[in-house]
Amino acid sequence: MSVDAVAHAPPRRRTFIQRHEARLLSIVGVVGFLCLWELVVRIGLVDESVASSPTAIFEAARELAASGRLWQDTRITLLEFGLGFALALVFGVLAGVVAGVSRRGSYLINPWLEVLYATPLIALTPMFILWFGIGTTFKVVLGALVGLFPIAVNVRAGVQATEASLVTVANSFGASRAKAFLSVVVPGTVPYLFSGIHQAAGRVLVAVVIGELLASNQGLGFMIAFAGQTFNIPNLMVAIVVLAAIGTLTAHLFVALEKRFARWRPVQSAERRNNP
Amino acid sequence: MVALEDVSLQVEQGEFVTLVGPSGCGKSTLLSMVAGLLQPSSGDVLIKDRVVDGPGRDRAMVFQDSSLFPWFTVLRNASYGLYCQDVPRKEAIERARKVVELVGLGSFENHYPHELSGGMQQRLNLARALAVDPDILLMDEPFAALDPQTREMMQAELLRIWEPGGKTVLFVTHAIQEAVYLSDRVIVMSARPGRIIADIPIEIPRPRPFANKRDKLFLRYEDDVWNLLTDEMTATMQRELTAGEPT
Amino acid sequence: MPTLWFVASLVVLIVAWQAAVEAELVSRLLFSSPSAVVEAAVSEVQVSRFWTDILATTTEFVLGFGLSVVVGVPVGLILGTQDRVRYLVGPLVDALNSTPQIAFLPLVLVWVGPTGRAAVVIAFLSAVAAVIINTQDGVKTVEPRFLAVARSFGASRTQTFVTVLLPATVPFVIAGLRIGVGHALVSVFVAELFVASSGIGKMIELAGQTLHTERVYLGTLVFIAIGLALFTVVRIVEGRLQHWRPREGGEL
Repeated sequence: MSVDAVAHAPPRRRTFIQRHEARLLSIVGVVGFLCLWELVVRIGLVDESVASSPTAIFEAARELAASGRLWQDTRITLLEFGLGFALALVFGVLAGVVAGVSRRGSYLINPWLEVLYATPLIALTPMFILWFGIGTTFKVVLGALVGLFPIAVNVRAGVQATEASLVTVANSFGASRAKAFLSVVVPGTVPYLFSGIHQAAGRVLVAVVIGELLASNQGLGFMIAFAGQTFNIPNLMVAIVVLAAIGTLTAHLFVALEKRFARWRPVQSAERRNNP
Repeated sequence: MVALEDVSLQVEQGEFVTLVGPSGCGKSTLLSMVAGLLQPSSGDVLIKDRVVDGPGRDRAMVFQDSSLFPWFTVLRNASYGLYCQDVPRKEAIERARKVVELVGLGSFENHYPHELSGGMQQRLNLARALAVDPDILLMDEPFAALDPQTREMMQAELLRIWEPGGKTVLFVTHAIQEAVYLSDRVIVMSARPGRIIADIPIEIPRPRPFANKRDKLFLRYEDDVWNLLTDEMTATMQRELTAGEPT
Repeated sequence: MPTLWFVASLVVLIVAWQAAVEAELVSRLLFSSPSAVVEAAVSEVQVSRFWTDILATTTEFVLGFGLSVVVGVPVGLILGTQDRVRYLVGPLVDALNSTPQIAFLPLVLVWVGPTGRAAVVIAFLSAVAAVIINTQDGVKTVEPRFLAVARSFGASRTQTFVTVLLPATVPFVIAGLRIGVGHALVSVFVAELFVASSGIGKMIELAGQTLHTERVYLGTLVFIAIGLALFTVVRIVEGRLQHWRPREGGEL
């Protein structure tokens, strides 16, 4: 054989369109979808009374925003979500740390943690409605419960992962147990914590919405249910869009937080997507 | 960015030729071009006077970190190249079985790669390439991930398996001793952009037992290559440290 | 040892519950009692309506989830391999994935009416986004070294797809299925509670309205049992499809 060659890396001269292909196509996709929807409804292919249309939804959104009703219901949902999530965070981290650090604690907590993590806790909704009645409380408690376990399980995993190898290193430099914990375990657990938070956020939002759909007279879930009963599809869609916005924003927020606080650890793409 | 500058190389059928050089000198690029996985921006690769423009049945590559398919058994991995060539299943399995025997993995046919040690995985890697019976074997630092003892054993194994066959081997490595031990010729390349600095015929008769590695002649060849490389490696290291990023 | 503790603590809880109700510390109306639940279980098990309800819930789930797999996996494969299609359609799938899909339930009811079919549709919607996205991710993260091997041996596009892409994607598809099962299950449950037309949800809803608290508890337990059974099935399927993987943290 004979080789007679020069090799270059390929030149990087691409046109504007080629460089921004992904973003442009995405915009085209979304805009195209909306236009198609509007068109299909206008020409009567699909009945407006069941599908509404982007323009009608936009109108309804303006009205609801102007009258203040939109913000009222959104505020309730955000409140319930925030409270539930906060409780899940506090108790989840607590449980996770105890289960990860203390041997005895882990014996006590682990079996329950495993079982309840795998159980569809939303099933408890009817029972909660029974106990707490209709109102904010049962939604917050349900949300807290649903969000607690992903956080606890992930924090435990983080604590366990860091304890073993890294603490040995800290100890070899003469650090006390407390110092080792603060300087090694805490930062090391952060990426796991954020992974857990990411999972929990989606679940808590779902729990809150379910609670509002089933047994509430306030909140976005209620707004959807009520609009459904009164066949007010535009209003229904507005609420869905607001929920979608909340869901997307929190998801992006947590991915950004994950990137920021776990800069030294690559964010795996499949992890990002595990948004239950 | 130029990876290879003006490389001109002739290899005869049946020769064992090794490329050595500092990181980034383009030896893997060269290998990929011969394999047909990369196109040179100018010039060409000729095999038996025909231009190479893609992968072909006359060549097979042994990759660096074992790129064995974890979801296939040893036998299925070994027969992969034959499968790609649409060889009928029975024949493919038979031929694969023979190569698997040859490399010493006969009792592991139905195991999965994760159950094999590093050395065994590289044997399978080799078997997979041999199964398609290529004229030319292209080996890209196949032993780099092995511990030193396993690595030396595998060098001897490679020679044992290769010697009777008459295949041409183009081998890439960082380890100078390995290059001298295995090859008929050692090609020394410069730092990026890669050029050929020297083409050293290794006039040590075969078969080559391990003891050779302590021989005066052997050590002299090692020395020669090392001296040629030292300047190049220093240049690369300097560049790396001043540029603020690894090559 | 941990199982012993778990069982023991469970028993203690149940006994405490019974004691609390008998001592009138908590309202029998709200909390029922273990004995009442067991009684209800015994009587329900003998009634065909109970089994019809279980069958209805399970069927709705299987149909909804099954559809999401049949649709979701191919779509995920397409989105993973065809970049342009992914740019176009991706944002819409992402939006669906980020939204609590259960919010679509009233809309679905408007479309198909207050029947069990609504549960199937909402289960489908809830699961399909997760399946698509996880499958798509699996395709995109196939390791380049495997593709290089296929190319070097001259594999055709179909051969590469079958021998490299598909097997490499399996773990991701499984992850997506696992998430999808959870979503679909919850959606079926909520739909049944909301509409009270079929299944365990209906049973619970009716029991709640007629203040048969023990049946509410029973229904909840039955539903949790169904959920756990389904998760176990997924685990088993996962095991069969991935017997080539190393146990516990091995390198792929």
